[in-house]
Amino acid sequence: MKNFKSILTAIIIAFVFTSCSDNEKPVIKPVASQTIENLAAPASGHGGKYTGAFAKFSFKEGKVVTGDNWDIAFRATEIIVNGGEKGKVLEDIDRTGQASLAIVNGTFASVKEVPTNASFKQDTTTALAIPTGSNNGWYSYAGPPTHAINPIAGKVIVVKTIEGNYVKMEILSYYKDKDASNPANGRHYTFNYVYNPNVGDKSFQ
Amino acid sequence: MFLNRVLKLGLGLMSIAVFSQEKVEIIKDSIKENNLDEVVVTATRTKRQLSSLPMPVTLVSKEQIQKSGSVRLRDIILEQTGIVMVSDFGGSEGVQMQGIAADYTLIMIDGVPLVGRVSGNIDLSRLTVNNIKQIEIVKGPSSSLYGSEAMGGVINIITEQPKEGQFKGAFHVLTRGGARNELDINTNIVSKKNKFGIIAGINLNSSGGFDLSPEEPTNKTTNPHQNFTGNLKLSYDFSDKITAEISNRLFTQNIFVGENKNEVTDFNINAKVRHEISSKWELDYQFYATEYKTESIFNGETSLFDRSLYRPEIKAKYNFENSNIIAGVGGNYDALERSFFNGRKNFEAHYIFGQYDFNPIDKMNIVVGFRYDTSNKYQSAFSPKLSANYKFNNWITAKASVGKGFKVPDFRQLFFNFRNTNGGYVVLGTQTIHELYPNVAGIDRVQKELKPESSIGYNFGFQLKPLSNLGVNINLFRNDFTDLIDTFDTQLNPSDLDLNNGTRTFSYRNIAEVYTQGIEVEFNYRLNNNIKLLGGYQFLDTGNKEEEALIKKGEVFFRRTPTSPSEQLTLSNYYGLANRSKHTGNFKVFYENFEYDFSANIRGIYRSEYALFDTNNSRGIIDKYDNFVSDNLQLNMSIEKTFFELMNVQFGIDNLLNEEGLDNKQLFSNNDTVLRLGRTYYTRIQFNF
Repeated sequence: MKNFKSILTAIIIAFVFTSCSDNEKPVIKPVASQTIENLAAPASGHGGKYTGAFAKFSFKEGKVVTGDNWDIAFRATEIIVNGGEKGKVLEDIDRTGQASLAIVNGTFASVKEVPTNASFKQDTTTALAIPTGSNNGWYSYAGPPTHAINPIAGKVIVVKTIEGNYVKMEILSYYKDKDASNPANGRHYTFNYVYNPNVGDKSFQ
Repeated sequence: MFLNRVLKLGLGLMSIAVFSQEKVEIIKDSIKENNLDEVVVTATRTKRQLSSLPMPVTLVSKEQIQKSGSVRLRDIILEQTGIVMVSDFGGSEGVQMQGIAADYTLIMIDGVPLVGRVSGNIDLSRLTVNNIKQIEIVKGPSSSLYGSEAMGGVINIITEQPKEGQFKGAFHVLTRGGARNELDINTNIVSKKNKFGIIAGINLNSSGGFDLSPEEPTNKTTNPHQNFTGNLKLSYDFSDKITAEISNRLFTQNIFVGENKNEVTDFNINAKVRHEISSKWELDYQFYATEYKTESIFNGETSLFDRSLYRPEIKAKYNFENSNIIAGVGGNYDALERSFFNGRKNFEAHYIFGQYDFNPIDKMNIVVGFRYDTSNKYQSAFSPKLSANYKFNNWITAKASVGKGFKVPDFRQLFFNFRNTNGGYVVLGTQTIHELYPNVAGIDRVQKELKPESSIGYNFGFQLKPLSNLGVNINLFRNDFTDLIDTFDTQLNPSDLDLNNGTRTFSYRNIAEVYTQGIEVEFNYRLNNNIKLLGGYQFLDTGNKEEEALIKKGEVFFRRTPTSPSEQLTLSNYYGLANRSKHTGNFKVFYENFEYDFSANIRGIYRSEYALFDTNNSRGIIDKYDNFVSDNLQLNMSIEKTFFELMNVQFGIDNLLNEEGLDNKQLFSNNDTVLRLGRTYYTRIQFNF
C-alpha cells in the first residue's frame, strides 16, 4: 500500500511537472517507477537444468509479451536478455534484438542515472549477462533446510532495451505474494523498475 | 502472581535473618580469615594472594560450587561474570569469555590442559566438580605462561590437597527431574597420614537427555548419557624438601544416539616432583599425559577421533628478598588419529618460558613474562606479557596488563582430507593439499605452513574496597585478533585434481582480523553476617575489521525484511560478531542461618539478545536488522540444611521462571540452540564423615 502511494505520488508529480512545460520545450516523457508483482516464470527441471518456455517481458509495454518485442525473459532462476547469442541454457531461444544489461552495485534509489562505468553485456554461448548460480548473479541460495532463493541486496540491473531505452530494476522476491515459506510459491518474480521512455536518455529521475 | 511468591519467600528469609543476628559474633572473625586465605596459582604459576595480583582473576570457591548445587563444571561456570555458554549447531557447547570464542580459552586441571575439542569446544559437562578445591579464571591472554589456546584466558580447576593428619570423606546422591532428569552419585575420601596422602573419588552421572523440539523427533537436543569418573591422587613427602605426587583421572562415557552407542574415553596422568633445594631455589619436574578418544557410529559407519598429548616440563623458581623469578622448559608431543585424515598425525613443539615478579616500590607490583614456542609443523610464536598494579591507598588499587596470545593451527586445518563429492566440494588441510598436489597450477595460493592465530589483549581496571564489607572490581578490556584461520575456496581447477567438473576445493588460510572490547564490573557486598550479595555485569562490543572496511567502502547492502528494497549498510547499523550479547549480568543472594544450620540462595543470570548469522543477505555481515535470539533471564535457587554436621540436604530449582525461549522458534525454525532447557528440580543428600 505504501509503495503504491509513493508510486502514485511520483506519477502525479511527474505528470504535473511535464504538463507545465508542455508548451515551451520539446516533449520529455515522464519517468515512472513501476512494480511488477508475481510474474510467473515456470520451468521444468531442477538445479539449473531448466527447460520450457521463457516468460518474456517488455519494459515498454510493462507486461509479459508473446512476440519478439521482449527485453528480458525469465525461466525459474534464469534471466536472459534479448541480445547476443543463444546456447548457454537448455532449450534456449533466439535473441532477436540488441538489448544488453549491466549489474550495478547500489540501492535502487542511489542509481539516479546509468553509471558511466557500467559494463553492459549480452548473453553468449558460455555465459549469460546475468550469470547463473548462487551468489554469481542476482540471487543467493540458502541451502537446506529452507532452500530459499533470495535476491542479493544491493544489486540493481540496468537494462538497455531493444529500442535503446534505459531501465533500472531491482528484484524483490522470487516467491508468489513474497511468501517464501512454501517452496511451491517459487518462480514468481516481484520487482521494481524505472523505465525512461526517452530513447538514449540515461537518467532515472 | 509468581513474583508475589518470590517476594514472600524473600521476606521470609529476611525475617529469619533478623532473628539469627545475635549468634554470629564468633564466626565473624573466621570469615575475615577466609578472605585472606584466597590464594591462587594460575595467574603467575606461583602462590599469590588474589587481591595482590595485577591482572583480572576470578576465584570460585568450593563453597559457592556446593551452594549452587553444581555437580558438573558447566553448571558453575555459566554463572560467572563475563562468561557465556554458547551452543553450536552440532550440539556441543563452549565458553565465551570477554567475547572470545571457546577455541581460544584454555581449560586446565591443576595447570595442565584438557584435550579433545568438538567444534572447538571442550565439553564442560565432562568434568565433575568432585574433589575440586576451587576454580581460578584468568581473563586476558595467558600464553606467556601456558602457550597455545590461552588467548582469551584460562580456566584452571584446582583439585584438593590433603593436609597432614586429615581424614575426611563425603558421599552424595543428586537426583534431578523436570525438563531434564539427572542422577549424580559421588563419593570421595581425602586423607594424609605419615606423609602419605591419598585422594580418591568415584563419580557416576547419567541423564535421559532431553529434546527441546519434540515436534522433530529425529534428533534429540541432548542424547542420553551415562558416565563414570574415577580419580586417584597419591602423594608422598620424602622430606621437607622433596615431595612427589601422581594424579590420575579416568572418564568414560556412553552416549546413546537412537540405536547406537558412542563411546568417549578421557584419561589424564600427571606426575610431579618438587624439590626445594634451598630457601631460594625450588625445582618442579612434571610429566603429563592425556588421551581423549571417541568412537561414534553414524549411518552404520564408525568414526574415530583419538587425540593424545605428552608433556614433560621442568620449572625452576628462585626467590629474592622481595621478588622471584621462574623459568621453565618443556615439550608438547601431540598426536591425532581420526577419520578423514590420512593416518596418524603428530605435532612436536618445544617451549621455554620465564617470568620476573617484583615490587620496585612498596605500592607497586610488576609481573613480566614471556614464552617462546617452536614447532616442526607451524611457525614459531613469541608471547610476552606485562602486568602491573599500583596501590593508591587501602581501598583503591589500579591494575593494568598487556599480553600476547596465540593458538597453533589445529590438526584439521593442516591435515583434513574430507571429500563430499556428491555435495560438490572437498576440504583439504594446507599440508595435505601440498602433499597430494605439489605441482598443480595455483597451489601457491595455499600457504603450506599456516601462521599461528595471534592476539594482543589489554586489561585496565580498578580494585576498590570502599567499605570493609564491599568489594568492587572494574575492568576495561580490548582484544585484537589477527591471522584467524578460515576456510577459503582455492579455485584450483578440478580436472587438475582428478575431481569432477564443478567440484570446489576448500582449504585454510590466515585471514580474519577481529576485536572484542568492553567493560566488566563486579561487586561483592556482605550486608550482614547472614546475607551476602554478589553481582556482575559485562558490556561487550565486537567486530570483524574486514567487514567494517567493506561497510566503510559502501559495498554492503541489506534488506530490512526479506522482500523490501535494499539499503546501504552503515557502521552505525553494524552489529558485530555472531553469538555475542552486548549485555550480560548476574546477581546472587546467599543467605546463611547459623542458628538452624541452613542456607538459601537465589541466582539470576541475564543475557541480552544476540544474532546467530546473517539473515538478510548482507554478505554474511550481521546488522541491526538481522534476526536476533531474544534476551534471556534464568533464575536458579537452592536451599540447604545441615543435620548434626553429618548430613546435608539440598533442594534446588534451576530456571525457576521456566524461560524456554519459545518465541525464538518463529525466527529460527529447526534450531535447538535458540531454545533453553525448562525448569528442573533437584535434591541432593550428602553425608560427610
